[in-house]
Amino acid sequence: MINNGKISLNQLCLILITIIPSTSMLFLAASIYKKAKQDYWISILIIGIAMILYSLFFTKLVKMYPGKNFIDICKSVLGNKIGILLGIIYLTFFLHTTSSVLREFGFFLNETIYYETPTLFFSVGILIPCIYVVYKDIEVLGRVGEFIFIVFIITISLIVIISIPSIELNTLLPLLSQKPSSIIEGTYGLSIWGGQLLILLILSSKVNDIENITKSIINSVIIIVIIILVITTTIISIFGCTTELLTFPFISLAKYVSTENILQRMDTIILIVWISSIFLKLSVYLYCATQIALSIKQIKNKIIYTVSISIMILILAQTLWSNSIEFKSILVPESPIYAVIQVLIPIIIYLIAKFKNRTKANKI
Amino acid sequence: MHTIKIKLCISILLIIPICLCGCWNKTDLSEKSIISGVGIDRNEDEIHLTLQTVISEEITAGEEGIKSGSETKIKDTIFTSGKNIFDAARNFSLVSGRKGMWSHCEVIILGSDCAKQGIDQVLDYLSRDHEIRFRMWVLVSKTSAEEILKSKVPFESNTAFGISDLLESYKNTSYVYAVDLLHLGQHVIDLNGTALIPAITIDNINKSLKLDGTAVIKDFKLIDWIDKIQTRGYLWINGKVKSGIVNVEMDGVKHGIEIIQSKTKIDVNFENNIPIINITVNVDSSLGDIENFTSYISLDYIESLEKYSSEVIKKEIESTIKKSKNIDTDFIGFSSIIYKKDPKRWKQIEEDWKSIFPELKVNINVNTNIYKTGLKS
Repeated sequence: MINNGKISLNQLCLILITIIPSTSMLFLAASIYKKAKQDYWISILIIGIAMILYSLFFTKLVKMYPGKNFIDICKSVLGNKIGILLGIIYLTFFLHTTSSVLREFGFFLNETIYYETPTLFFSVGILIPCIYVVYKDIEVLGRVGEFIFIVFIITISLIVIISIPSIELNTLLPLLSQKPSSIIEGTYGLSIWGGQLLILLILSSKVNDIENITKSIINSVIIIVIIILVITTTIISIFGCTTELLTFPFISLAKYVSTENILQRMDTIILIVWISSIFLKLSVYLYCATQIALSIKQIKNKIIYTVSISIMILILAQTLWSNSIEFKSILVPESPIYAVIQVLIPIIIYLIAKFKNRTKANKI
Repeated sequence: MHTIKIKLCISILLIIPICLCGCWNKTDLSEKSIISGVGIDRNEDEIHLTLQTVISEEITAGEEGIKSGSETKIKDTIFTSGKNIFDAARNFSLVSGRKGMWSHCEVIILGSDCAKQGIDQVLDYLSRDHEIRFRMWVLVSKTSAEEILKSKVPFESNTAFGISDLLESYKNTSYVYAVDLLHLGQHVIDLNGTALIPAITIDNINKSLKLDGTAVIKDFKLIDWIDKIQTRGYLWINGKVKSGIVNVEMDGVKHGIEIIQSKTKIDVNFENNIPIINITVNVDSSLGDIENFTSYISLDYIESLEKYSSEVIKKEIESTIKKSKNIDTDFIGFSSIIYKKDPKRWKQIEEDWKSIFPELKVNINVNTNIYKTGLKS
């Protein structure tokens, strides 16, 4: 096994395509429909365009400093101290997001299928293989990503194809009837999903051919938007106005669809997608958190970081939210802190870096 | 080194099955009872549930083998009661010693008393429970739901599955508006508590069950019934008529005309801010029955028969609209049709809808095309 600690650009794209829609596809349709109604697709397209612009900034920043992750870039742009401070902020952010993903995982399984099993059981169960993958380093993560991508795409398209006979296009009418303000409100729930591109800044330092990164990332963003658009359209065209009442529209869809009474109850298939993609997502987040911790302070045995971070995540996931209603509220964020961390700071860093480089070039 | 690896692999393989053998929620089939249909009755503030369970042939055969000669049979319908549906559903285990498994439930029958007191409590439980699927037929019984589930259906030993068969074959007559939980929910939300649910009753001639018309729900409460012709009128407007027989009487001779397929188009026009609805129905049909053995069909004959047939279909639709206006309930969903066609105009007239609706002008235009006359000339 050759381990040069790098992944290819394709592997990075496949990871992004799998993990970004994986969690959101389960909940999103309900929260968008609540706000934007039949104009949900405009909200999705707005976020899609925002994501493309966002990835343009990101990839430019990354290309400026090849082989360095975001915290390293911060260090070299703003100096060591501020860099470390930002590193701690981002580590906290990653701890928070990862624990929310972990809670989401347990929450979903607990609410839908395993009604009496405590969430702690699921959390520990999935964290152990995640730690193992992170320990095996990025190259293994990339290969796991390739495999899970195939599982993800096949199962998703299976469910969508089976639900085609139940679709009633009448429920998608009337088009363009909502106020612009409610369409903008519809993007709130999506923004947390678009912001996940942040992991790009950490992972890109491990990518082989960084030259073509812009094009590949934009392509994968387009694929992600298409996946979300197809899933949401299928859900809304079948459930219509009942969509907003559902907690997990996608699993309700899988339970509802049937082809001539032969293929029914596809909800077990959702579990395949859910568990495999959450496994990948958690591993990537855990890897990112470990990398940030390493950038703050280098140590020899990075497994110590991984394990201690995952224990912290486990505790946070159990204690941060006391019940499912409280947890559901973070799925549609209302505080701007996410936007600041995910969008504003990287863009400011990019502008400073560009300015610095220009003055340097002028001096020479 | 190599042998250590193999030993490690084997030991891991042995450990993994321990984790796979089950979890908190493991239940054996013998601890659960699969529920196929539920009847909900209500008196004052008690809920009475009638739960029909599936009994596998083996169990029945085995038990009967033991009790051979005697006439006792395993009971497959069980009655429970409670303060709310959830309570009553759990009390199932007081009677049966098992926990009910609702995920294969196919029909829900609301007794007319329950429907008169309100269906919204029922709908909430059904859509909140994690075992219940949205693909479940909902019916209102003209008697109590208990009596419906107690009676038998011709070709099924399990009444609930039999009722589900009755609804699935609605295409043959189009006299039934079959609705599942999901579409009932959509209908109720779209029209603010107004909905249609198929009605079921006991057929005394066959000693079995019969679908008979449709129940009209307004403000989540059962207020009236419409008959099978009016039900088909509703299906014509919604474009859901698949097949069925149109009875046409021309020059004193009765004709049976089979619907092959139909298409409905609805347009909304506005005149002085008052909506006018134009319904166009195109029907392809075939002549199947003339009460005259020696008849010979000419082209003129077919043409006038087409006109008569269109007139009959138009009357079916009109009777539905008339009923809807009589009971002042927009169960056809004209409000939703107008909203979907023209949301801006709808917002202007939404407040006056109550006064507009009784005066609403609906133009109906039916084109019948008889293109087959069967094997006889």
